[in-house]
Amino acid sequence: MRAGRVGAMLQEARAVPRVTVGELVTFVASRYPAPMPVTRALELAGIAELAGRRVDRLSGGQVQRVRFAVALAGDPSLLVLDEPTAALDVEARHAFWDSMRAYARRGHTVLFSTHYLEEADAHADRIVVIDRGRIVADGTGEELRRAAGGNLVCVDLAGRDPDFLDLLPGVRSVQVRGSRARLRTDDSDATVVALAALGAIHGLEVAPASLDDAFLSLTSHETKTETV
Amino acid sequence: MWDYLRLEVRRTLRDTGFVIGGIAMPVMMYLLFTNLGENDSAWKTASMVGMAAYGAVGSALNTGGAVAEDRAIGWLRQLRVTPMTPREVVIGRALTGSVTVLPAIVAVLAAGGLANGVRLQAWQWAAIAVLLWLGSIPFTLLGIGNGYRLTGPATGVANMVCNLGLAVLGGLWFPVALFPHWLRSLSAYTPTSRFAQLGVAVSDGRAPAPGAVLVLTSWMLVFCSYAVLSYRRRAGNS
Repeated sequence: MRAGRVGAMLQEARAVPRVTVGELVTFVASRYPAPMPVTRALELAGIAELAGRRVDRLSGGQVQRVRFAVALAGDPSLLVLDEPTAALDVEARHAFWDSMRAYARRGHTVLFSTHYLEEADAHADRIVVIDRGRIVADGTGEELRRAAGGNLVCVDLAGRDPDFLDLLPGVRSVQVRGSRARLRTDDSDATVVALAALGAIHGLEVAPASLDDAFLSLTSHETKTETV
Repeated sequence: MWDYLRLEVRRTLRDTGFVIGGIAMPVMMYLLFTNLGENDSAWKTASMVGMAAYGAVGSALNTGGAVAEDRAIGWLRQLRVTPMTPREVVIGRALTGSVTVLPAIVAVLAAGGLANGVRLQAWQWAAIAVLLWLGSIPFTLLGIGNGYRLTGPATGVANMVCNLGLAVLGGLWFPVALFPHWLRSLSAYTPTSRFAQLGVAVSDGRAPAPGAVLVLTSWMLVFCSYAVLSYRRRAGNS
């Protein structure tokens, strides 16, 4: 931290009153031994045109991007972001991840936390799932999905009693919604063959489990992910 | 550190509340109190020092309000994740406080010299300004102590109570001579009364009394401990 190799974007920080965007980012950059040019930090954060505006007169999403520029200003090798996209609209979120990727490509590490799993899945090379202070999973999105139990098989019950589904090979869990059953299975081939043998195939659907599903199987309550 | 000082001074001077309450108010009160009814030049001079002291105390305490605000919005935490050390932040803040008391002192002295025709030697003007500037340090520490200890709104209230209470008790608004006897003896122990005495002595062509320096220094030590304790208490979560 003292050596200026870490930049952080804190989640709960609000706008610093009575200072312009340019002044703020310039000041923070000047604390670091080898900062990036201020205009570059503003561009990466997508706020180059706001440099002369006062921070406390910006919208929530704009302030978020100012805080991002503040975290970037020192050109740190490790960038820590606490729920960076929480207040951003879709367009700003895309722009944000584009600049993050560009930053990481230059050999920097970006560590971010998020509640949005699709975000972690799409942008993180490594995902660590933390549940009540305990690490419950650590790996790529693909590894997490696999660890949580491969695929999802959905069929119409067509009037059958769902009890038999639990006994099918590979099935880990069964969820019934109306007349439709969702089976999480380690071996979707075996499950489907067994279903066919029972003549129970109606409206069959086989899909890879989503990261959300993987996540729910890892934890069964409120959770937070840290991703690298 | 100088960058930090510059940034914080700039932020303070953009604060309309500070400019009105800390600079314009003492000047207006001074002009009002010395131009209503009959006033001799001795009162114009004494009140000038008193109101300059009042403005300096208000500005010094305001530093604490700024600290409370910076804590609340997470600015101090943000500084903590930069390479700046906490020591640099605290010292930078204290220096900001000592810079931002200057406008009030200069403005009231200017009003005295230009609008009220107060005539003093050049060295007296300089000495009064410098003494009031140095003498405001205890009040900056008091404000910082409040700012680290209390929430934003509570700091505002505490600073206002300290400011008005100490100003009236210390005779910054009205001469202590108008007070009943018991209040007058109490007033002698207030930091504000002794603070103003530094300037009053110089305007009379004397050096400040050792008693004034002693009482003010004691208060400075008290407020300094208070500021340090408050800061330590917050060190974990500010």
